[in-house]
Amino acid sequence: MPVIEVDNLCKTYRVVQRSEEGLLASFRGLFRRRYKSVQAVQRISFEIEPGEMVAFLGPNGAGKTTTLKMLAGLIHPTSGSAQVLGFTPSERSNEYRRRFALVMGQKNQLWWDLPARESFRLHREIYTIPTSQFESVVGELSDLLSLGDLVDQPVRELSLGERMKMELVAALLHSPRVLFLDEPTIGLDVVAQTQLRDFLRRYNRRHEVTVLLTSHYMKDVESLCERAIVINHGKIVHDGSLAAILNRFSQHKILKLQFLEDAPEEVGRYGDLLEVRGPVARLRVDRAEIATTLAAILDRHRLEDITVEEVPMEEVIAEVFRSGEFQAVSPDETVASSATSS
Amino acid sequence: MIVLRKYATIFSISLAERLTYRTDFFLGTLIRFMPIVTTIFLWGAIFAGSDRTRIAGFTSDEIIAYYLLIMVSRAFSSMPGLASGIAFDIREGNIKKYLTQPIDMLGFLLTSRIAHKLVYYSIASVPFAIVFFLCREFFPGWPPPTVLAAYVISLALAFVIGFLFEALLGVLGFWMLEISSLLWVVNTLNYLLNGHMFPLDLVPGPLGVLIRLLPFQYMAYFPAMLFLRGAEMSTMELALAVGGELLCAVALWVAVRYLFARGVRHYSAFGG
Amino acid sequence: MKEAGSRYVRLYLSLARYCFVRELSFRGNFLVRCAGQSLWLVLILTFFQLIFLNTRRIGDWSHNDYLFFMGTSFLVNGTVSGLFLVNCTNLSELIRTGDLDFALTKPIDEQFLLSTQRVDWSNLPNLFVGGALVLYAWQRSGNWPTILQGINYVLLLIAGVAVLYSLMLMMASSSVWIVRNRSLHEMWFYVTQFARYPADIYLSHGGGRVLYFVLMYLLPVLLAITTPARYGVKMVEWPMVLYLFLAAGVSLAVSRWFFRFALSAYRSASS
Repeated sequence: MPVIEVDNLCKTYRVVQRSEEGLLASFRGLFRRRYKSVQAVQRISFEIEPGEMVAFLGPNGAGKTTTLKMLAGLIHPTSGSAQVLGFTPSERSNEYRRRFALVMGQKNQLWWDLPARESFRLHREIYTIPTSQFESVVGELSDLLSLGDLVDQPVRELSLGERMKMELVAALLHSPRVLFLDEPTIGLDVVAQTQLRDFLRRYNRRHEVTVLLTSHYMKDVESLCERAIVINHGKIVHDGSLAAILNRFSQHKILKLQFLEDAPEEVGRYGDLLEVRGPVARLRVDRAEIATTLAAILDRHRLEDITVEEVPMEEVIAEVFRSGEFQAVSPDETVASSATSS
Repeated sequence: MIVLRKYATIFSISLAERLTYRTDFFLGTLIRFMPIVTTIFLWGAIFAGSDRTRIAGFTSDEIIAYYLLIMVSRAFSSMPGLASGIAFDIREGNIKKYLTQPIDMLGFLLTSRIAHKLVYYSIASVPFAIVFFLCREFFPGWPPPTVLAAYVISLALAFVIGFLFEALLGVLGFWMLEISSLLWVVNTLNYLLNGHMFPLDLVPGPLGVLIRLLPFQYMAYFPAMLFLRGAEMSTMELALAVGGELLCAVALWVAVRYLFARGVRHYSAFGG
Repeated sequence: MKEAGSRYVRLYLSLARYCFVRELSFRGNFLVRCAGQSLWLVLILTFFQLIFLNTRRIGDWSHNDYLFFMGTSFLVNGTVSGLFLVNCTNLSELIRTGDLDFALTKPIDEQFLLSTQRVDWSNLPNLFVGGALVLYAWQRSGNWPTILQGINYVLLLIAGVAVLYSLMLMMASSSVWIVRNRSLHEMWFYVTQFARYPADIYLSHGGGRVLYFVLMYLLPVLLAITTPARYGVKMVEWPMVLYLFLAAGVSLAVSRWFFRFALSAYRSASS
């Protein structure tokens, strides 16, 4: 039985058409406003099983956050249905709200001027968490995130990464069954990103919580999720394993060659030359021709080192969105193209 | 010529920016007149409970006229958000923009304020005219042309003084991290001292004399009294009174310039 | 039901405590705000002391009655500002910026959470000065209330607060439809300025009677301060007293309905 079932979910809303620049136009805007409707999410459907960690990928304004907010019951779907843990989110029953948590990387819900511990206590009251459970959860999470005394420092004195950890603790205090994470690592430094990722992976394994996350950082997605739902212009363009995206959209690998002397000029013959710096050259080579290409190079040049890399996820996804393939999936996106979410 | 065009551009951008808040504009202009209504009724009740025909030298009609004229004075001299805006720019480092670009911060702010005020007058003049027409019985009649001329000058100077006064408070942001509480206290005091709350003549004795010597009065009390009592003054007295206001404006201008220059030096030494 | 009630009380007490702790961690700023509040009270008192140098009555309120009126007004306004003004301003801000999300994900009544998150303790001078004025005026008139009358007066103060809170909540909720850059704080100042003086000053004039009718029966702001004050001075006028209780109940119900209506509109409009 899936934890999240989404069936033909749609969200359309009205925005004021931005008036043209200039004085005259703003005078006109005083009296008349033009609206246009934006289809932020168009008939998307998917299911998520218990304990799964699924990534929501897509460019800005693709409809990721809008979908997440619909699942959290924050906004009404225009049509279609969504079920989470057997609840209809838009009814926002207290039972449902006790069972999920939403974390948004760009917003904080902790009291700015007080230690995080005080905010946790407040959550205990709001979610009516029994004291014994509260203590053990705080203890466990502090351990996992190695928080130490940080919970007793005013939140405003914490670094962004530490603050995000606190946000996560606050969100997990009531042991939610479903966790919605909207850009949880945005703006964090690499170390903090890695820590958060490790934490999420361990927490998910230990508690089998279902996680749906959006992120700009492909690293998050690669290390946490086996499955990704790619959304663009409010429509799902791919739903399946990350590896499948690579196979489907990345026909290439990257060859990194380190020559003994400066890289020879004709190296470009063996593939798309990405960069040459001294003795090092990076080439993009068709997946199927890796072996023959390598053989040909080794035949003629002396090499110090060779590495074969996957094309980075970022580039694949960017490629996915650039490629004509999706224009075929959603030909009528003239309006939706200006959709803004988040 | 180029300088002129620069400020003309600032002017028209500020104008456009103002016009985007449309609901707010109409609502805001209308709502500003509501306190006048309560004031009329309050003073009606005060005069009804008193056996005097004049309180602090005002008849019951004159007192209403006074409050209406205060509205006009404040329409010129009030500068909402100016001081806090300057302090914010200093605190957040936005001030670098003015220090690195070939533009004078105070000149920029003054230009955009003039634009804001002009938009405000262009819309607010209609409700102002209606209210003054409805309340024309409270006024003794139009003052003579010389008084009217002095009045117009005093309003223009009230605008300048209001601008410089707020700018002075804002510039304090170079030395104080948080000026919002200070602003609040100063504005509360100003509400009393400039005659907005009640005519300063109500304060008896030497304290009343002292209050009428302070520069705050130029932001409300002075122009209003010039309109009401100007006809009783000679041309010489009028000129002297307006000259006093001009002197105050000049003094403020010097003070703001001086503090601003000191502040910038302080900022580049410590704030960078 | 009873358990839910005690949960909300507990939650409210923790919130109030947190706010107090927070104020104390910025002691300087807190004290300046208290000083500002006190200064404002002093200005109002000064104004009316000056007025009473020139007149014996304002409407049918004697100097002593008027002190009592001002005391009541400080008590009611201080409570409304201290408990609700920050929260409603914050609510309208959250609506404007579209940041209402966290409040909506919590398993708790949204109106409760959004109207009680903060307590602005810097309104305490209002309550002290207001309370002192009320007691002083009672003392000076020699007309002390009985215990029952005292309790009644307090209940009327609470009803007055409820009326003003309802109105404020509706104004904040209306931010869903009305885009304004003017803060609720400022709007509130303009809306309540009618209630700052005794309601009967409007009865002297035809137009005033229309205003009186509107602000007494349709948007009952005048009721909130004048009625408790009149009761405290005259101890009679039962119809007005009963009407205030009725109005408090109705405003609370209407504002709750309106708040929920605004929330659902917010949820279908935002992205």
